[in-house]
Amino acid sequence: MERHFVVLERGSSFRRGFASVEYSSAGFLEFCDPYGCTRVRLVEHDSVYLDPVPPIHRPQALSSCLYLEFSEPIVVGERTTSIWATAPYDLVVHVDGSTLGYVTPFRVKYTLVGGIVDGTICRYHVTRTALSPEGLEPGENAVIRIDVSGVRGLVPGIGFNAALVRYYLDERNRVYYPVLVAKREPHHVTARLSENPPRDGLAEAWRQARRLRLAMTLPAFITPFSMG
Amino acid sequence: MKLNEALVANIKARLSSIAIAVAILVATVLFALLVRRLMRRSVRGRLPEYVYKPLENIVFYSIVFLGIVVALIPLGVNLSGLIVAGGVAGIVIGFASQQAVSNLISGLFLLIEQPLRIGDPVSLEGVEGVVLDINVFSTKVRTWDGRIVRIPNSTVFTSIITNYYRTRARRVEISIGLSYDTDIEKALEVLRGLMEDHPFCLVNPAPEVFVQEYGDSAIVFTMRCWAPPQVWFRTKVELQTRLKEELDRAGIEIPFPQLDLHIKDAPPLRVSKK
Repeated sequence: MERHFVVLERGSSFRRGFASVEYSSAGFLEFCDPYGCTRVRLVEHDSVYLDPVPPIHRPQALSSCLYLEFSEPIVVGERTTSIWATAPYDLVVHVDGSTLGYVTPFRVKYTLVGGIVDGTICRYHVTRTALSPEGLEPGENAVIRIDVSGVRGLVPGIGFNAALVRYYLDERNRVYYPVLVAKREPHHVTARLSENPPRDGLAEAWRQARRLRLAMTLPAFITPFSMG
Repeated sequence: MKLNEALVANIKARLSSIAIAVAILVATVLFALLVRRLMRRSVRGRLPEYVYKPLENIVFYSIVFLGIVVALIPLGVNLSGLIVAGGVAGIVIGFASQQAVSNLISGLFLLIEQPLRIGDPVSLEGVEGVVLDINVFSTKVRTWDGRIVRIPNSTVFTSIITNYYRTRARRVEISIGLSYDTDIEKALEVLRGLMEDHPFCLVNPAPEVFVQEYGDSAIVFTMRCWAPPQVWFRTKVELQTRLKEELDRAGIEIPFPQLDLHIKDAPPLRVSKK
């Protein structure tokens, strides 16, 4: 069962992090973030919806990759360990699935994963981690569970393809990513988003991209340890 | 009488062969057009333009070429002889139209090697802009000020090409002179903060800022960061625009060129009272 993150009626507003949306009773809708504002007038619709989408739209769509750098690099063992971490997301502003624009509640930075000639530009996020969801204070961030295994050693960060993400919401309207499955190899980490919710009792968020099968066919993302 | 009948029969046979050949040729061209149309409908949206366009050309012209070869069969043309004749004709045409053939071959090499693709911002032969089209004879570039420049492929192939999209990041570099009264550490902090705050200045490779030189009127600072090539110009412009705001906010002065004039053995100024 899907549900919307936020439903705005005329005369209401919403604010999260750096994102703000004002929907006047006259039908003017203005949504802003640090990278600009958009103002439209809705003549037919009464309800405006906001839903989480991959953090790859603002300020400009440049890449579908998200790189999470651990504030304290993690050391993994050979057995699979679940780590809970924070992650960003963008919000799509839409009326009945028709996209009006995007806003980001966060300040955006990009980084290059890999070399200048053959690397990948990724949205960058410094993530806090915890060993349980209760131990994590995500604030306005989304929560992501990373199941990591492989060769014992240090992992400074993990990149993954975030083009088509199915988000989940809890009863407090906190945003969750599906489980990220990561494997540490001697010289890199491979990571791929699954379709599994990170915990029980979550509702599916409204999805902009319906082609979930395609998401599963995306190759696992490789994050090399050497970033030169 | 019999000779006439034979002649008529021969002409009829010849005409029917020509008709068959023309029919094959027309059918082939129609088929090639149909295939091209189907490709445009079903394949074009799924492939980048720089992959699709050469693919479409190759498929279209291959079908037409095959059609021409097949159309020659009813005319009784010996294909092995045609190959020899084609070789001879090729040499003759080659000499006659050296430049065109050179462009054609260069075009094929360009399509294979792909040093530039449709949509890439490039600099070649003194022309800077975005590649609009690469066909078998020429490459079209739209310059930054909106002119369309057609460059023969042989020229493109032999010239030095700078492709600004072929790397994942491109360096933005800005130098600025600041007053000698400036606290250097504070200036470094302001300039570094400006780059760290900008979304497109990459975290890795890390931005850098340093004192470039002690100039005549100012301490020259250089700031560098890497940005995705698609937003390189935007990043540079935004950094330059915000630079003065940030310096003003921090109370750091951008000096005018100054010249201290020292006069040796100057006669004393006389001050007279009226």
